[in-house]
Amino acid sequence: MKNSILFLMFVILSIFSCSKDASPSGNIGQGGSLARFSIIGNNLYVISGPSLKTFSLTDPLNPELMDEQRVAFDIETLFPLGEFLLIGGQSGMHIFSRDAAGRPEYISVYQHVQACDPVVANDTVAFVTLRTVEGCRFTETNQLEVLDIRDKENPQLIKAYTDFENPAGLALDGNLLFICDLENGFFILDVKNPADVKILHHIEGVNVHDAIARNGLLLLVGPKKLHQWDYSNPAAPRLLSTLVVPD
Amino acid sequence: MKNTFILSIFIPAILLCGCYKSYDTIKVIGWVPMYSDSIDLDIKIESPRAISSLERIYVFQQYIFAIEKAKGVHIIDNSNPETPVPIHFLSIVGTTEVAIKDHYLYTDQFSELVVIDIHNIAEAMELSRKEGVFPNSGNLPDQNSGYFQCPDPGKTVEGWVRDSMLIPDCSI
Repeated sequence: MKNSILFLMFVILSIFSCSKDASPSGNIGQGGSLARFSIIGNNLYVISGPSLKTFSLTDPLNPELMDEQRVAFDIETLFPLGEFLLIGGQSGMHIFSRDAAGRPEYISVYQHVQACDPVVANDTVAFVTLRTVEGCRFTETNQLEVLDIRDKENPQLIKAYTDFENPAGLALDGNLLFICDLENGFFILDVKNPADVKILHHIEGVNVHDAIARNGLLLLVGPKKLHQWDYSNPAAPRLLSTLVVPD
Repeated sequence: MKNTFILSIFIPAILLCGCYKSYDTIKVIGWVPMYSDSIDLDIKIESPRAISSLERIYVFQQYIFAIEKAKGVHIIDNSNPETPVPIHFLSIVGTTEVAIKDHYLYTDQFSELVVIDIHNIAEAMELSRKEGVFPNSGNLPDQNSGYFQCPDPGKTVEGWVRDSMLIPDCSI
């Protein structure tokens, strides 16, 4: 009897520890795909001009610059992926690994046409949006590129999708991908099969440029508004609120 | 005949004007100078204020940190996503990014990296700063290429912030 109680306690504790592990952050917050700052573990990574800078937060009050490397003059976004870092730039997506101390080491670059390109990813697939408005060069490329990144040294294009007008920030949660399309609203896509990504919803009438998705809650930010959607039932996403702050 | 001749000159001319006009209205991302005499670098927690332009968002616990470029951070209590409530404005002139760990908020203020204690958000305060972390100050943006608004030569540039603009006269 006593043993079974102990066993039950062990199971309950295991469940709790799992649920803690499942949240990637612990006590670290989460940014959108356009962010230039990102914290992983004890490191703060920062895109500063053409460089990737790494700070140690071992003493949280005194961040210490421990590494700095030049990546490319046109880098813009930073996506943390476990032991890797993905950096979006106007001419390509750069992949770095992180050593035990968190120091980044360059692995490879996937080059594409000149365009603005935030990136999100899971262990095997990266999603890059390319758009060419507002200072992002003058070629006409507005698409989602889906990349096979199982081999980090050799990222490969699986397929490009051109259903978008101005694809900007994006967010990934499991098999759901959310793409902000500026004045053209946003998209919810099923990316279970990267070679055959399916649009589940195209929601128009909003202007949004970046997104955060976690635990069924989608935050979308536009120039003047903050929208929140419940996507816990992906078949029927539901608008929860729109925060409008008057001028 | 004469009319046709005039039209054949004017119609292309009018059409060409259209071309030039569209070029004038192209917006680009570039750098805007911020002058030291007009800047209050103090970091202050204030009551919520109107949002004029949202850039980034960052989520930490039940809070949303919504960045208004170069001005500061709107802090929103999102305990109930159906009724988000702006509770404070954290004034950080020059900021563009935030990241948070263990109730320490890291942000940029022009060339400096600043650490802000948010254990008690209502009394958020600066704890430390590192100078010279971001090289983007001085009278030219420290970039290899790009557009920037020509700075006023009579003033000292404290730093540069990125913004969208009509194609400016200055570029590197």
